[in-house]
Amino acid sequence: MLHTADWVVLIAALTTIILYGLYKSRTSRNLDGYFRSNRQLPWYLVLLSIMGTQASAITFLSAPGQAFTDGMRFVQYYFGLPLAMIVICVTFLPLFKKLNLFTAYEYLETRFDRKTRTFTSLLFLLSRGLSTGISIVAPSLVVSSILGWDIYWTNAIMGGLLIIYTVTGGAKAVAYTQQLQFIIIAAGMFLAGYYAVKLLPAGIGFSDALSTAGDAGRMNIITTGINKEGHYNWNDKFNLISGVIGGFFLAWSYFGTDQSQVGRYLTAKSLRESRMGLIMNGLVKVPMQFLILLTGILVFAFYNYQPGPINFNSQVTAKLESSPFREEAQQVNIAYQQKKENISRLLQASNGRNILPEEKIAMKNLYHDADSLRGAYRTLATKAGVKTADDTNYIFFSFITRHLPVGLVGLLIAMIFMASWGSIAAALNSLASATMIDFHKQYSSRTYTGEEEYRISRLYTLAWGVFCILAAQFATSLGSLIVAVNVLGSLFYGTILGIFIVAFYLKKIKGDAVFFSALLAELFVCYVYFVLHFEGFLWLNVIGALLVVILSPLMQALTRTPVKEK
Amino acid sequence: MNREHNDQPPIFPKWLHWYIVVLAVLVIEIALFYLITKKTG
Repeated sequence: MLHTADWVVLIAALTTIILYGLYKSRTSRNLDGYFRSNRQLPWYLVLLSIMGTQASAITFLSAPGQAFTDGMRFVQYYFGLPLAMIVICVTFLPLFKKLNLFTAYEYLETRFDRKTRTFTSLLFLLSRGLSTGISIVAPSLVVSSILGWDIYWTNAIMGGLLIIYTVTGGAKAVAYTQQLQFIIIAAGMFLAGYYAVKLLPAGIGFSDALSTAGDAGRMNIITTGINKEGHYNWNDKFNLISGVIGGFFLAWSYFGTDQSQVGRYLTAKSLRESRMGLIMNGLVKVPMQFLILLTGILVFAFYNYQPGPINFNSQVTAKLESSPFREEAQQVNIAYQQKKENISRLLQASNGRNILPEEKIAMKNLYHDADSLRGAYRTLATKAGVKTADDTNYIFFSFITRHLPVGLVGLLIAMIFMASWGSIAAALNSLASATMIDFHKQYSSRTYTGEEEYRISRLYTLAWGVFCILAAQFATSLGSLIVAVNVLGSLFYGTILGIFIVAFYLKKIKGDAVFFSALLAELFVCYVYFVLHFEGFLWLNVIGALLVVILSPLMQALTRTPVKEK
Repeated sequence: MNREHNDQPPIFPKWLHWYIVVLAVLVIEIALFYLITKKTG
C-alpha cells in the first residue's frame, strides 16, 4: 500500500499536468491551431516533444530491467538514430515544410496517387492505434500488480485523464505538458540512480558497482553479434551491426514517416527550429539511454548486496505456490538465495582490496548459476500456466516501491504516468490528424468551416482515446506485451519507409508500381516474422524498405506505365 | 529562394559538417563504450 505522502505527491503531480495542459489549451479553433500549434513552437519544445513522444512508460520501466537481466547492450539499438536525424533534416523535412503538410502521407498523393496515400496512412493508423493500446496496458500491468490496484481502473487513469487536455488543446497542449513531464521524469530517474548508489553498503562506491556488474556480464555495452566460429548471428537482437544499420532504418522510418513524430516537428515555427529539434534529439538520445540503462546496472549491483526475490513479479511466485510445481520452485528459490548469499559474502570479503583471479572466476560462476536458476524458475512458471514469466518490466518498479523513501515513491509513480501520458497524448493527436486529414477530408463530399473541422478533430481525438483504452482493457489478457510493442513498429515501418524512399529518390516510379510493391513487401515481412519466426526484428525494417525499393522499378517495368514529364 | 525552404543547415555552413559531427560523436561514444566494456567485463 502507498503511504499518504506518496498519494499526495502522485495526485499533486497528475493534477498539475492536467491543469497546466488545460491552461495551455488556448489555441486557434481551426486545423492549423489544433494539429500544428499554428507552427509557433521553438526548437527546445520540439526537442522535448520528440523525446517525450518516443519515450513511453515502457522505456522507463523496461530499460533498467533490461540492463538488470541482459546488460547494457540494448543501448546499441539507438546507434543508427543520430545519422537518421540528419538524413531526415536534409531530405524529408524541407519538403514537408514546403508543401505545408499536416500529415506526412499527404505528400504521397501529390507524388503518387490517393490509394498509396490511403494505404500508407492506414498502415500507420493500424500500427499506432494498436501500439498505443499496448503502451497503456504494459505499465498498467506492472503498477497494478505491485501496488495491488485494479487493472481496469489503472488502464483508465493511465490512458484516460490525459484525454482531458489532449482533446481540448491539441498539439500545443501536448507539447507544453511534455515539457513539464520531462522535468518530472528527469528528476525521478536521477533520484532513483542516486538512491541505488546511496543504498550500497559502506565502502562500496559507483565504480565498485560497475565492476560487480561487469563480472556478471552486464557491462556488455558493445557486442558484435559475431559468434566464436566467426559467423554473424542474424537472430541476435541487439549488437553493433544491427544497431547501426537496422537502427538507422528504424529511426529514419519512425521519425521521418510516423505521424506521431512528424506531427511534433511540424509544430516548429520555422524549418530551422524543426531541424534543430531533430539534430539535438540525435545528439542526446544515445547518452540519455545509456544513463537510463546505467540506473538498471546500479539496481543490479544493489541487489548483489541485498536479498532480492528470484522473480520480481509477485504474481508469478503466487501462481507457482498454488501449482503442482510448488516444491520444485521452492528448491530452485533456495538454491538461488544461497548463490546470492555467496556472491554478497565474496563481494564483502574482497572489499577494499584487489579481487584475486580465482575469486573473479568463482564470482563469474556464481553469477552464471544465479542467472540459470532465475531461468529455471521462469521455465517452471511457464509450465504452471503463467503467460509472461519474464519479470524484466517489474524489476525497476519493484526496487522503487521497496527501497526508496516515502514521498519519492509517489514521485516515481508519477514519473511512470508522465512518461505514459507524453507518448499517448502525441499518439492520439497524430491518430486524429491522420483520420481527419487523410480520410475524413478526402472522402467527405461536404465542405467544412475551420471551426467545424476543429470540432470534428476533437471528436476524433476523443474517439481514438476511447479506442485505445478499450484495446488496453482487452490486451490485459494477452501474453508478452513488451515484445509485441517493439516488434509491431518494425513490422510496418520498413514498408512505409520504402514507399517514402521511392517517392523521394526514384522519380520515374508511379503510384501503381509502388502500391503493389508495398503490398508484396508487407506480406513478405509478415511471412518472415510470423511463419519463419525470425527474431532479429530490427532487420525487418531493412527488409521491408529494401523490398519496396527493389520491387518498385520491376513493377514499373511490368505495368509499362508511360513515363510523363512533370 | 524563400528563406523558409532553403537548404542552409543550422549553426554550420554545410550539411557535410553535421554529418561529420554526428558520426564523430557516435564513433567517440562507441569507442568509450568499448573501453568500458573491456575494462569492466
